[in-house]
Amino acid sequence: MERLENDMDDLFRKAGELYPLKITESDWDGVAGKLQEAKFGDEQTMPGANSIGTGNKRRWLFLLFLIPLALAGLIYTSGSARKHPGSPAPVIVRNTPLPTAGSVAKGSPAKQVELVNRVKGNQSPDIKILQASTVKLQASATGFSDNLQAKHAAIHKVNYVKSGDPESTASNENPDPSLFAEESFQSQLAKPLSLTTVSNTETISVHGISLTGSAAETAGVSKNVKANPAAKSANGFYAGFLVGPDMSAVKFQSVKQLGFSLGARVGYRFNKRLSVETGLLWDKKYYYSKGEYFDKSEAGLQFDILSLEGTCNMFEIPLTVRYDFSTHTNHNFFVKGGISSYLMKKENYSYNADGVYGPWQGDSTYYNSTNNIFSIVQISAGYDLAVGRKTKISFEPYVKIPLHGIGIGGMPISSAGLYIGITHSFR
Amino acid sequence: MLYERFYGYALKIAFRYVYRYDIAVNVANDGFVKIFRHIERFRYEDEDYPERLMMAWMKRIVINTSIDELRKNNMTPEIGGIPEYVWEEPDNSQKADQLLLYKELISYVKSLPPMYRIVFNMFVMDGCTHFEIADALGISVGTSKSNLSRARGILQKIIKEKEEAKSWSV
Repeated sequence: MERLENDMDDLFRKAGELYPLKITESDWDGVAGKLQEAKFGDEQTMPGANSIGTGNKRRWLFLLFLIPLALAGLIYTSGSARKHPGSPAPVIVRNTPLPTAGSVAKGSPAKQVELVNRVKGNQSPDIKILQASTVKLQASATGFSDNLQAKHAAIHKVNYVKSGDPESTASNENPDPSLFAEESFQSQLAKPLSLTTVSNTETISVHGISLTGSAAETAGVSKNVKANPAAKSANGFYAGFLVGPDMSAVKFQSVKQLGFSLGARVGYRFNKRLSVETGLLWDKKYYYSKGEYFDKSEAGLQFDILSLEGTCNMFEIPLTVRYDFSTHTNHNFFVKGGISSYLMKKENYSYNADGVYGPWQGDSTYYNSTNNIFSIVQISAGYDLAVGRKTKISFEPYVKIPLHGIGIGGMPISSAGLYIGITHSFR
Repeated sequence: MLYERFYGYALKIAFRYVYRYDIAVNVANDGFVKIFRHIERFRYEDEDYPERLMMAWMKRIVINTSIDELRKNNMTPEIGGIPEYVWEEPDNSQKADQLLLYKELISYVKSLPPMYRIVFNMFVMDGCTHFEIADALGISVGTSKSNLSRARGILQKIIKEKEEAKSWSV
């Protein structure tokens, strides 16, 4: 029966190609006339798999738009007053006027910074800040002296009143220069840095300078500042999101258009340099190939493929080891290597075929065709930039090389691209 | 010129679907209009056979245009047989018998219901997959397979009846 069907099909196939239809004179004028018409309504009948739809372009632009949006949100939430992790000292910036001495005396709530010189034998008088337009203190882990010039620049904005005249709230445009004699500061600054908590959360004393109550919080000084960063454990989990363009090619043939990767990753840092990562990515890849690299045995195609353009959507599960070969206070360089799995969700092929049916351009779509477990080697190198105490953005160029064929056609699809990611550490 | 060179090729494809010569001519011309309007979409990486790729692209467009034309008329079956004037005059070559056979087979296909005919045409004569047929016609893959099976059954029956009639006449 099957043979009969095949014979019959062959016969009809030849009939379809060779049947003796009279070919009348062609009507080029009619075709030219229609070409002049403004609208023909032919978009739906045009094979469209080869072209980039405007919807795809919009989607891609939307994804690109997410990157600056995420960065802006990150910078906003991390706050301008915070210092990067591991940086030598807290930075306190006040941009709003502080309350008057009266309100301080009455124990008015937050938004106050009180600096009290508690060092015995200090030649300079006690200083109490009653009002300030800006207070900026930079305390170095090794001492204040490095920042002396910066302090001088900041101090000229501060109005001081001697402690003997606490009720005075008038602005002193010309403070006594002796109060700010360099020797008196240096005598303070030469002392070793000490961070002590006077009460649970209310006052933090930094080198004899106390930051009271929520002023410390406002300024971004938390209890974490008290801990020595060097003593803190480097291991712990981190997680983040990433997005980036992807270029895919089969056997280094031409790249048709950019795809993308989008997803989340989690990692565990064993020490300062070594960590492991995994995640879940949604990939869209576009590629071109000559027919010889497409294995049509699984695809159910009955003819010789001349060339094809493929699009695939898939989940990717990477498993990588990361090594930070250059670590700095606010940026790192790293390399990463590992292996990935592709879980194909949808493959679409627009192909040009030839054979007993004559030339043919077709489309085939396959859903959930293959799971290529641990079949892609991934190598990348990147740069991490700290944008908060625990948050980093990373730029990570990568290449992915298949160990064997990917997808229903078993094609060796290589990829290269750039991950742009944001990670947050839970240490 | 592209049009002159491939006009016959396009017309033969269109006629197998619509089975009315005047409409087939219109469909072929409409197909060329689409081709010329979107010629920038025709891309070929393989310089060895650009003509085959052009024919493949053209076939696809003409089939789609033919299906659109049939949809416009709600797939209404054509009334009557195929008029003789659409056929090329047989010559005296050795192929004449074969061409007559092909002409006969194409006539049999016309007797199929339009949906069966399209599926049969696309699968058997044009090499489409059931996925492609289902996508083009907005039917399921199962329906495409079932239509093909029924079309084959009808054609086998027709061929058998014709052969029996011939044997009786002999």
